[in-house]
Amino acid sequence: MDTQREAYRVEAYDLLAELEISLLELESAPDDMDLVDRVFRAMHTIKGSGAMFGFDAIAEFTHDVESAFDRVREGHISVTTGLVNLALAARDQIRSMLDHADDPVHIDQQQGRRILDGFRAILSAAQTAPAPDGADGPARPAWEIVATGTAGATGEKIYRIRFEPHETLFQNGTNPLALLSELTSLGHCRTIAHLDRLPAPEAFNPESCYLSWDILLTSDCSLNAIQDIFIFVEDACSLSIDLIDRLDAPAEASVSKRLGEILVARGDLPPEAVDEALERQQRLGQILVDAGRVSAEKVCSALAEQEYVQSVRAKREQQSSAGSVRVAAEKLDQLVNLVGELVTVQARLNQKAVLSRDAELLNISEVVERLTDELRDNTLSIRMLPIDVTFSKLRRLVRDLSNELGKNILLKTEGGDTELDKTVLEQLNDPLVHILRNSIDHGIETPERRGKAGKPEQGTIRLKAEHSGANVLIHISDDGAGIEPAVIRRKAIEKGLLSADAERSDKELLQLIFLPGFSTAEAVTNVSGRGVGMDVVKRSIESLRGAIELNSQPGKGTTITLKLPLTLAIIDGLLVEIDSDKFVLPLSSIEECVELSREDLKKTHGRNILNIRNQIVPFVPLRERFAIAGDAPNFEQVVINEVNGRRVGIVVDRVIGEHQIVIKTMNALYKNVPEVSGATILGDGTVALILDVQKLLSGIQEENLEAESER
Amino acid sequence: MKILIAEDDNISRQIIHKILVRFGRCDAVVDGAEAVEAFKLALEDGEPYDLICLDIMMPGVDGQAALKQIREIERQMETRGEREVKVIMLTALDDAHSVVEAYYRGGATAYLVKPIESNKLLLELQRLGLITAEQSKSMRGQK
Amino acid sequence: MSVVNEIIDGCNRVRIVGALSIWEAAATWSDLNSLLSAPGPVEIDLTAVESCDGAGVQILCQLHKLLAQRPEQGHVTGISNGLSQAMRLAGLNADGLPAGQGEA
Repeated sequence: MDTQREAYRVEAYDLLAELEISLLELESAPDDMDLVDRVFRAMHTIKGSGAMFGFDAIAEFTHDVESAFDRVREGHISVTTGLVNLALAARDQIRSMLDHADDPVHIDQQQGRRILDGFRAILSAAQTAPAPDGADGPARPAWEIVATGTAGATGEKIYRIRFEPHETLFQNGTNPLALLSELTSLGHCRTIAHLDRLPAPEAFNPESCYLSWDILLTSDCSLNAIQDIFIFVEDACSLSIDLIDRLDAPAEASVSKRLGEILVARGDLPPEAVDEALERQQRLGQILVDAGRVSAEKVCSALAEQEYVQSVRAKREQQSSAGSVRVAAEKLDQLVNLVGELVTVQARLNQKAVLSRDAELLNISEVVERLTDELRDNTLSIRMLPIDVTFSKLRRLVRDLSNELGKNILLKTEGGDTELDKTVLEQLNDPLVHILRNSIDHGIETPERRGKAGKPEQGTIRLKAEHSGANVLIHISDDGAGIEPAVIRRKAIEKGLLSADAERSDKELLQLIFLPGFSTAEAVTNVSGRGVGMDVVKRSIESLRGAIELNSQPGKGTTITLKLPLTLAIIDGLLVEIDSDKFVLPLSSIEECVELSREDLKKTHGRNILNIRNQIVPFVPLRERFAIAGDAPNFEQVVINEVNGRRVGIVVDRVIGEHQIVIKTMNALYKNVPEVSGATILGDGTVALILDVQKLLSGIQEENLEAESER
Repeated sequence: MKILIAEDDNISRQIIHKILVRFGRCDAVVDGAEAVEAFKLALEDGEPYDLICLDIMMPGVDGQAALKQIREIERQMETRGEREVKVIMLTALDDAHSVVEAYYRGGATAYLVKPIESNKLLLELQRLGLITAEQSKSMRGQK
Repeated sequence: MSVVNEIIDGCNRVRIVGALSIWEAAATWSDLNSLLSAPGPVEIDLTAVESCDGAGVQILCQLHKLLAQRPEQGHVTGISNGLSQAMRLAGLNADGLPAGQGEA
């Protein structure tokens, strides 16, 4: 596929994502003509540009969809849930056509025809009855966004201050430069001096003030703050302060003023003069100067204002993210890899420099270290994406599912601008979908049941993301039925996951949900009863080196909290050693290290169980597990990890210490070695394998775990 | 029909002018700012344009920005749907991003890639319902 | 403030020293006028101007006008940091013209 088509597809996917959001918004605000326009434009764009880049089938398909929204624009069709459903289906169809542009056999042509028939029906109905009132009623709100404090503009504005001192200004001891200087303390100033009142040198009185100024001030201050500066010179000057542009208004909403308008607004020129000049369709400024209607200096000043407003706005737009460059994900991954290697080499350089005791080399090494750190942080930050991308996909899920199950659910999202590593974000989607499905299916009750329980008929699911140190927390909470610990207990005993006489606190009982093969749904629905349980969610979150926590209040609702690392490329690890082989254990799951002597070992009678503070902890001797030749030292070390809520030890020869590890993925040859999740290159150039503790321990004999669970 | 051509390149402007002039009054401007100005004046005079041909790469305010401003003015005046002026982007830029930008963010009616051929432009005018099939055909016959 | 001058190789070298403000404006202006009214090339050194206010800025604008009017050569050889800051604050360039407006 040529690059042009590929570039088109990238644009089209973006467009479809925006279309989906617009459609969902439209459903909750069916009268918003701006949204209708946006949907129409998206369809029109897909049609028009699709044809240009050889996606004729897509262009053709979109034609009727576009016509329907054109009729909506004209007010002949009103927005109903039915129309939105159909449009969303059309969106999905276009997406599938894009996905399979090169192998069209995979496209469901029948579905396409069904959608088009639906639109044609709406179109012909509209022709017979000019403005039908939608049999399926007006669309209802399905979600809303809770604004966060961090997002958005600061309310900056551009003021034009025209400051014309009277000739007597100096006589009361006022220095106009001091006033100008005070203005600069409010914000950025563009000062334009006017010298036109300055007389010929012969007639010049050095003690009179002839200068005057136009100042364009970009600031979030109020008009009063500016007036305060001039408060003592009010009688000695003529002053006008005008707000000429609000930067916090959306860029499109404020059209920058034309030269003629500026001159008129500034009172330099009567409006008729502008009209007269414009009729001749030349450069306005030149015409007006030629005609002697206004001095060249005034035009210059007005032009400067025009330019200033545009430049401030352009800068503003650049900052507000629109000005970005698209880079292929692989290139980024490559960059991260290179930076990882650089970090490693830098560590070697540093080691060498320290050994050499060469002051100059040490100096260079330190500079390189600083630069490398900065480069690493910058590179990693490029991969960060706002979680909103994921959230907006979930909106559609909530809407479709709640329709399907006859539930009325509002999705509230918060903290959508929280950023996470791209890889984390990608792998987060499935677990989130699963959690939401559970909430919608099992959590939120039907409207009738909610009514009986004295709750509002509309259930609410909240998605909230926030930073917490080097982690991001994602809370998914619903105000549904909650989870009854007693029910969990009964089910767990039924499924043989818990012995009938085992004593567990409510909190512990809730954690049983994460065990494989646990499902609490009374009836298996096709929504979440697909045999994939919360155990899978837990495992995928843990594979991201994250953690999951569940809290529930029966009758009130359930909250699931995911704790995720900001990035996957660098982890904190514990470096350990067996003989001369080095391994890294992720620090996140490590609880403590204890010593294991020969005597201790003998006492276990080969059962590999350790008694730590009266708690039985099973352990894995790594030397044995990896069949490393040679004898263990007299005193070995046991690294205690918390895995699946249990404490398990890993026995190694020596613990070297904590290290920041840059992860290098292993190539495909190692894919059959699940215990190793990656490798890293140490400062001295040797390689250490990063162990996946969870996989490593999955081989532990069940009886050991049983023994531990019975305590 | 009242037509506005915004194009900074003299030769292109003349070519477009030559094709379009037989369908009505053609005004020409050389940058985006002037295009917006002319559009506004025509609107205020109650004789709005039926068609605007906008080049994208122009000095100062470019075609994309001019298009957005024109649509914004229309939005403020509650001019929507059929009553919006038809805007054909006539440009040498044929990358997907520019195209989507013009259509989606700008609200362009059509997008034609230079070099401008008379037939291409005529067909587009016909598709937009600005000229009849007969007009288009008779024009396409002659060179 | 003082305006000092010496004539070297037929060139009148004028030097303004100290503050250039409303208090010295009248005196400075008359000194400058009389020095510049004498025929012959002139060089003006502004590196020793310590501070400058609105009146001072105005004098500099007029000084540039005067220099331009003279039949003989006349130019400013140097300008102090404080002075150039004051000019910038007033929206003027070093030649006493509105800054950033080379063309119409």
